[in-house]
Amino acid sequence: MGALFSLMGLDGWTKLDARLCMVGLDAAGKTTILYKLKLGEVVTTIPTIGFNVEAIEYGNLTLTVWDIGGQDKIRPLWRHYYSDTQGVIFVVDSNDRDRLSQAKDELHGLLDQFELRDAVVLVYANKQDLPNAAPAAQLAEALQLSSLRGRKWYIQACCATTGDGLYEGLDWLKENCPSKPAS
Amino acid sequence: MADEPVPKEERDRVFRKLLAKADNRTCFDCPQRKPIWASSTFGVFICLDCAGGQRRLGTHLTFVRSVDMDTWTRGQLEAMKRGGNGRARDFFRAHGVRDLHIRQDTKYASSTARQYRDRLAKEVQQALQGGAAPSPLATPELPKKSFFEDFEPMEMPPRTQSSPALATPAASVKMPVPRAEPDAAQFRVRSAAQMKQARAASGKLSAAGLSAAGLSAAGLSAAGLRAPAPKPAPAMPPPPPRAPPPRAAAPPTPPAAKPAAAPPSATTFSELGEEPAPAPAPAPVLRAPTQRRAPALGARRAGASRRGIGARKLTGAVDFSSPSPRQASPRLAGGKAPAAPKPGSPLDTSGGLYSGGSLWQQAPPPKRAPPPPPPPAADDDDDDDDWYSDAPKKGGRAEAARRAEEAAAEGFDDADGFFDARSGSSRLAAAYAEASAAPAPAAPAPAPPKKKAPARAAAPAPAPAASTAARDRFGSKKGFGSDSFFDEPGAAAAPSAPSARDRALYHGGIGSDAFFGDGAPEEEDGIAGALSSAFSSLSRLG
Repeated sequence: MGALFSLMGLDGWTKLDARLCMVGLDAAGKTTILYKLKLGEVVTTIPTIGFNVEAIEYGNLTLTVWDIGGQDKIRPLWRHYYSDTQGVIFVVDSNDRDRLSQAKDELHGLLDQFELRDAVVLVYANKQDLPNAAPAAQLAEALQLSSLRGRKWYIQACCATTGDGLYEGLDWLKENCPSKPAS
Repeated sequence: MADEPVPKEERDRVFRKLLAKADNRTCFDCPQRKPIWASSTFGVFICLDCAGGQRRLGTHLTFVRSVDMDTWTRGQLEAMKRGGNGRARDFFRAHGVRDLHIRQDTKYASSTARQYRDRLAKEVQQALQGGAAPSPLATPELPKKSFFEDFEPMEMPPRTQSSPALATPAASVKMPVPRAEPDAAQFRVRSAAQMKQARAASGKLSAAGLSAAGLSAAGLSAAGLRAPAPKPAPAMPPPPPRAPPPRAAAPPTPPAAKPAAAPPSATTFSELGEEPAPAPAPAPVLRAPTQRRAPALGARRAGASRRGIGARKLTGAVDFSSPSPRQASPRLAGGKAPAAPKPGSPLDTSGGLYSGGSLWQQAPPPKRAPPPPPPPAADDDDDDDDWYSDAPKKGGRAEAARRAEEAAAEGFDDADGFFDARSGSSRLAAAYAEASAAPAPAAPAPAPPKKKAPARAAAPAPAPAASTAARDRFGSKKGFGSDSFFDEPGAAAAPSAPSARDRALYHGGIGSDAFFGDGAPEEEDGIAGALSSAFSSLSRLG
């Protein structure tokens, strides 16, 4: 669809919608990212029990982002948000190297879900400002993104508190997320 | 064993018991009642709001878990059992933190917090390994006593909240140390820490790593190494005219009293399988008594941070001027190192991207290895304002250059060996050693042989070849995806010129297209791509 509009030169004119799920381990920075994108400021967050949802306008694209709490016990609830989702934003705390393997398991677990078979995956390697942060390439290995053939994914280093890298990720989503014309 | 998850029933049983204690019924950070969140690093219970605040600090400082919504490992649960709000409060109060409701970043990045955290981690480790230490649940008083024993003999003057770190320097000054290093480190650290109370997380962390030297020094003095304390030690951090302190009196190259700073470097050296290079014998000598008290933890961190700084400075300088840090830094170090320690020289300010700015400039020099035989008088000045210029003075140009070179090399080694270190030792030790060593940007260094170890540890992957590919090819990129990943290596690897590595922090992604090779490899970063597509559509329209 995007290509068609692009051919017609209507890129910037057609309003597009996409529905995204933002998941990741607890304390990865999902809520901070959501509100940084929505409000442009760093809000004081508390652990999300349940979800937050915001519509984020980016160019002609309106992203409806569901930010779902990542505590162990509520991770099984993620799947209830998967239906009709065009993309997944997976947030990783780059500084928390101990739990990278756990993050990997969660990521691959959710990508096995039938409802997400066509979803694109944007991985935010968050908290790059912290001194112990793993760089994007290292995270790609730890998360075994190389095994995700046949799926569109993108890993973007970012820092939610400064906003660095967030929009680079959205740029990729805009190009690659299967969006549909706004109703 | 420590990582083994605890069954839910057991977790709930333990927490029911713990939360029934009066101390644990109030949040550790605020007056809120009934906390159901916890920091497993500090073993304290906190409320939901404060959990949010603590999570912001980063898992290297405090790891926040929900009492009822998270899985707990045995080690974490043990920390909660041995910790508790009451014990933590007592510790903080005993160290001059009267008001526990202060800003969380100040509170948890302080040296007091670090001491407490290290102690707790050590106890937990011991408990899990030996099972000898009695659980505080069973005999609440026992661990507490032995816990404070070490600190009481320190005869510290009552400290105010503003200078909680005074303890360590004072302690270290009491040692019959001829060397300036521990003191220098601590004074530096303290002033730095005070200056930078603020938010710079990296700053905090590096201060944390650095004053590890303080920790081990404190441990040492507690272990009975204290000498008759010739001088009460100037209390304030900016100690310019502290020229002829007791250390001057001591013999110039006494192998005996080299405790705090030397063991660290020695330890780390041996871990790295390198020789303690320029250090004349003194280093290892005192380690026997040291080892017991000064925890390996402190030692490692001190050593690591010291090396890290040197490495970082050089790296920073190198990254902007030459394509390959790994090759270039030694060269640069050899050529320029004598100049490096000059305050205000470009090398200082060009520290790594993650370095804490001014903090790093204040930090002690990388490895001002043992005071070389020459006059100890020079040693004393260096605690003061101008300690940077002191390295060349002492070591001589050649030696300084050599040392800087080593420092650079080690910095890289350590960064690369992160995962190895981690697997070998306790979680905390590894985390801090790494954190205070060369910062992340150094990690993706492009040398393939080094890559293997981390990759293996990180991902016991079915396909090791594929797993190392990402870093070899995208080491520098801040983002990439499937497209670029599965593309032929040549095209995707091109953009990862090492020179751009540290600067291009958030630009450029690595996309699936470039990775796997359908469509054009993503050479452009996101913004450029978006711009070009926008332009093309505009031009079509216009």
